[in-house]
Amino acid sequence: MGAVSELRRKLRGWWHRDALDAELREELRTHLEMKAADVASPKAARLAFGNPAMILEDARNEWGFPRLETLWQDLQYGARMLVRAPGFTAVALLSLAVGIGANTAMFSLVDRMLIRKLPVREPDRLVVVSASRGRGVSTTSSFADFVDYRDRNEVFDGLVATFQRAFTLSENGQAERIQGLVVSGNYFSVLGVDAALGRGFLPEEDKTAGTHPVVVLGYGLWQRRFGGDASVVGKRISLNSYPFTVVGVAPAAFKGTVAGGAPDVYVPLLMFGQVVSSPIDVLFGPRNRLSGWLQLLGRLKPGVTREQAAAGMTVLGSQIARAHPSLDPALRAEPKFLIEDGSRGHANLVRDIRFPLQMLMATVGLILLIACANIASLLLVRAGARQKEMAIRLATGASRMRLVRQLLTESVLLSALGAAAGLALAASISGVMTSFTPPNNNAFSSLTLDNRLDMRVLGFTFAISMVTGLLCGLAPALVAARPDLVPALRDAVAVSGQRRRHLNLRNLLVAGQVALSVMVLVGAGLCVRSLRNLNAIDTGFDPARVLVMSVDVGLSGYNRERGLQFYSELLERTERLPGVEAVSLATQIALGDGFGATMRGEGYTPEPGEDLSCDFNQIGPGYFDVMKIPVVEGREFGQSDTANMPAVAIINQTAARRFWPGLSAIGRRVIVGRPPFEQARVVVGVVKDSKYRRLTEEVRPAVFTSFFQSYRGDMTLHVRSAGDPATALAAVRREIQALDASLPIYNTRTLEEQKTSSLYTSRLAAALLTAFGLLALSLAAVGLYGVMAYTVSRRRHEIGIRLALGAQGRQVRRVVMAEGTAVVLAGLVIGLAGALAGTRLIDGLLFGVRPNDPMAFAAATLLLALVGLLAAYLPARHASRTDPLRAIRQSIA
Amino acid sequence: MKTEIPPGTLYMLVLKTLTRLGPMHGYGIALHIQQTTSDVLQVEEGTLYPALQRMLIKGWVGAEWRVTENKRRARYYVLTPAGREQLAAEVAHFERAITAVRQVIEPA
Repeated sequence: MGAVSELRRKLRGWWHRDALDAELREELRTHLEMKAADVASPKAARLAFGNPAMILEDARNEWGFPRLETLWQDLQYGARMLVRAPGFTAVALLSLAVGIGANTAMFSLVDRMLIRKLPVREPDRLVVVSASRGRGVSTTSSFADFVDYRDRNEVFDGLVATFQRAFTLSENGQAERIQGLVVSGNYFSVLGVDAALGRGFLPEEDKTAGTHPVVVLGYGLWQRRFGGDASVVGKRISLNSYPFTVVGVAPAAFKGTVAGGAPDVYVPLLMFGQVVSSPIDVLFGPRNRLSGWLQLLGRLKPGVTREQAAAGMTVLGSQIARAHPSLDPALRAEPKFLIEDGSRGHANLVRDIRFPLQMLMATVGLILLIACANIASLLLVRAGARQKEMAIRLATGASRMRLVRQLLTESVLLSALGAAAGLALAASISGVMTSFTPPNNNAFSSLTLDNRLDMRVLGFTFAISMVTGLLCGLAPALVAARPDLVPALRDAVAVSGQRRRHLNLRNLLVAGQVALSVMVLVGAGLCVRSLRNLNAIDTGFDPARVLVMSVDVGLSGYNRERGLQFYSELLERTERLPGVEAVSLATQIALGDGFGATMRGEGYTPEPGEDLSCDFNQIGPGYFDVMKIPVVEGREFGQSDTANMPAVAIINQTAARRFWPGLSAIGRRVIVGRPPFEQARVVVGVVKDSKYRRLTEEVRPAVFTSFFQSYRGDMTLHVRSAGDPATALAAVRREIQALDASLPIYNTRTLEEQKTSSLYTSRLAAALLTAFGLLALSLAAVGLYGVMAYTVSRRRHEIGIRLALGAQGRQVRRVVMAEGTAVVLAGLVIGLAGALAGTRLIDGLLFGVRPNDPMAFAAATLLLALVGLLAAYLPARHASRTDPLRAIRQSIA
Repeated sequence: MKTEIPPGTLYMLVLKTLTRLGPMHGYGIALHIQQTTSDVLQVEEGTLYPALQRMLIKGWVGAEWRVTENKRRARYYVLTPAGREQLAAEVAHFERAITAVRQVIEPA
């Protein structure tokens, strides 16, 4: 209370400071008069009174905010100094804007993807729960297992299950494909997330399957599709043609529990059977404990550690496994539980991007360091130029501390301005980063690169700009505030050799910039080479002019018969289109999510614990023709491989070699799937290996089944066009709409685009590192140029004398160049050593290139040497062209 | 003989003076302290006026312009209730301190 009213009185006084001043003046005058009347003479009174101006000043200062006022003065002065040196200010601001902008943009991405905890109650108690049942077996849980874990565990306050899945939302006749998160009914209550509008799911809605068609909307969808209308609660929407009632809207900050995801809708797990074509007993049946599909997230009971939870769950898992013995010998009888930190949710979407992001964050940190060094060296140059000013201020009574504070205020002002410019720049840098779209997954959720600026990011930017300002201003301020008074005041000519110490600091800073730039450049070179190698990988198929697009007729209520008819008709119509060379269907797009299964050849005895996982795809006739994947033995599927005919399969060479080495696979049988859902199929063809999920994969066995025999509602049309795929796209789209205008078409792209986007982490790293490398290089060049130019200007007098005494321009050039070259060389050596140590860290990101790749090192060295020598040459040339007479005359005048 | 005002006691002296004299101007306060102590304590103007400003800010005293007996306009300082509390606290503190000091130095 006291402090507040004190501040209020003080502010009022400060506001009326002119009136206050007048009052104090009058008061002191009266005092003096009264004193004069009491003592002998006015002179004696004044003598006894002391200095009235000082008393006034002291009394007045009590009312003010002297610290703030000095700060304000310093800021005004600093601003004037910046305006007076526009060249320096421009270069410094640009360096800072780039450095801080890049950091802000990177941080906003890293923060949202990797650092930030879920906006839920006590996120630190959340854990990711997974059960391992053997090599190559998914760690997700079946519904039956989840229910047992949820109800019988003794370590969690709550256990939730989620599954990512795309849906078709229809509402007011408009269909749209949206991201969904299928969640157990206890999801919102266990997480402690309250709906922004309406409510979450109720306990009674989580009892029986298929009886409570309710959904909670994501905040983004609510805003985008429903304009933030509060009357959306109670509204009916249709998901995959099934009617649901909206009961609530999730809060804006809550983006589900899969890091990097952004669900548009939360669908109760028990309603999942209503929106997918998979048979209910496969999803929810008590028999199916083997095919896991649910991701689990638990809230630990207070005081329970992760280790205790893992032990408790393993005991429970063993009990359940004993009660329901597995028919598959390849599976571990008793699951082993892994309990990991879940405060940031499930990490499956951000797994691939984590390391590239971390590396890029470290790189932009280096860039900011370079910018700091750059500005520090420019400030040092200015400190030299401002020695006279500082000397005068010291001579007239300013304290050194006061000067240091003044100079630091200037550099912090500079970096604050740079940060403001950097924030503007960050927005466009963010735009570039998010343009590297991650591969869009087929039916499941996709990664959303979210890097909007918010208060956390602004706080980060503010913090780094303050640190930057102090970091780059401290050394120059300390140097500047300690001028050698006498020569500085006399404006004496600096003779070479003098102030050696400061020059060394300048050179050190430039060498440091060179060193950091080399490191970034080497990293960029490695990533570019790695990307080239990746692009050169043989995919095993020909992506040129192949167009893909997906539809899901199952979601529009088609049964198997109608679906088969639809696809047959679509294939026929598309085939007839002009400009279409070949067309087929597949469930999986190459280099996409992929779909895993297990397979073994009949008569093949697997080793105990052998990984029998394989890639799996349901395809139409002529698929390998469209993809230009050679059939090495047997045949492709034809129209005749229908449900009435024997079940057939096509396998890749890796599978054939593994199960029947040296023998023909044709006519032999493969068993696909795990008991009790296993199926035996006769191999009718063997195809060449190709890449299925990613370019860098080791090809594993793959099995293809005929679409007519293993029908699915969601299929992707594969069209090889004769000319421009874009033209074919429009034509094929028309055909689909002619058959069913209400079907949403998604995943529209060419296989070339699919290939490019599958490399997005490498492309992101290569593109950003190259940009950052060039940035670092130009910053270092500016720094070197600035310091060299300064040195030359300080040595004008000396150079003039040398030239007057008959030195050749060439000799002068050599002297100046020698210094620049030494600095560049020193920086290069340090940088190469640093790069040698540092690039080992990014080994995991590189493909086909070693972290000490001589090419990358040589290229970076060459580039830097060229640019560095040019930056040193220009001032040297300038020096050699000095007019000796003028140089000498100027320094004497 | 002149003696410096013991550190930290100026507020107390000013506040006490105001309780004795009622509202008073700066010169009157200084004069009173000097006379009451038989010229032992002299209040410098350079100390007094900044201190009075601080006391205004802290709300221990108020100020108003009045006309003196000699028809001069002068700023009179008036004790506030907060000032009275502060005086009591400072006197108590001072006496505790002085008693303690005596205990150290007296039984010589």
